[in-house]
Amino acid sequence: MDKPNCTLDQARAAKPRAIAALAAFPVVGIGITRVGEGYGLKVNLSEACESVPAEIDGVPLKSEVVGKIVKRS
Amino acid sequence: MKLRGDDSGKVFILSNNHVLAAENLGKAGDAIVQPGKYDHGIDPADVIAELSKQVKLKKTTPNKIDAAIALLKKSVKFDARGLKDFGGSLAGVGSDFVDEGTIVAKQGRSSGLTTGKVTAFELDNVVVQYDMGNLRFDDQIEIEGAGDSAFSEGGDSGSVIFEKKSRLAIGLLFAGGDSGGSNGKGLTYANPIRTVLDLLKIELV
Repeated sequence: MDKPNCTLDQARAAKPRAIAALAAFPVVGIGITRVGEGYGLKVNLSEACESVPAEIDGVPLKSEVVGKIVKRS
Repeated sequence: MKLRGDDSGKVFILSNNHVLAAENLGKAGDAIVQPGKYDHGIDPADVIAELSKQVKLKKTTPNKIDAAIALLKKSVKFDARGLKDFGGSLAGVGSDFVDEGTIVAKQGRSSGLTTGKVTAFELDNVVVQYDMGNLRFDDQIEIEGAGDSAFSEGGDSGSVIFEKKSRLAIGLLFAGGDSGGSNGKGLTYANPIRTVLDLLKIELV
């Protein structure tokens, strides 16, 4: 059976916990995105790494390697 | 832009701190040239404004915006809301909440008119490389380009990002990268426009 979709409030509540849990990873951004019909967290990484969790407290987590972020001047 | 509640007729340019104030180095009254110095603009022939106010970029605590304003010279003609290649004019300022999937556009100095889609919002811990070091930003908006294009390139900083359908402003473009996004062309980052307007105490002309 599919897991129920998470609400925006659930995703917002999970964000600080995700930031703490992923402190050892090369994170360059954690925000909120759509997952299925609900919301989840998007984790941006500067480089590929293994063992990034797929969820935090039941909130789905999507990770993406975005490389380095620079000012657009 | 104008200062909130000010009917003196003073008009301001809005852009990034790193564009108008060189990452906190600028001082009030500094000349602003158009085209920019990178595009061979010179002082005094191309001076159009003077730096007025900057929100200082912080190294040790999270930033909310990268923004500054410059007072436009009275002799300079302008179209404050014109959307150039897109057509029409900016309709106003959008909602605080910008959902994933919102279709947006911008007119930039380097990549011109591009469209894209919001891929994430309320992004914290966004680490951006500046000349002054890596700076952290909280509560940011992330955008990917439509089709096979990047949403932004270097030189597009300071562009206003607006919702394509409503033409309401949603963000101030300030950063990006060359990796990521569903088309692999990289992602763009923007300060929420309402936060920018609130912290600088300005509003659309």
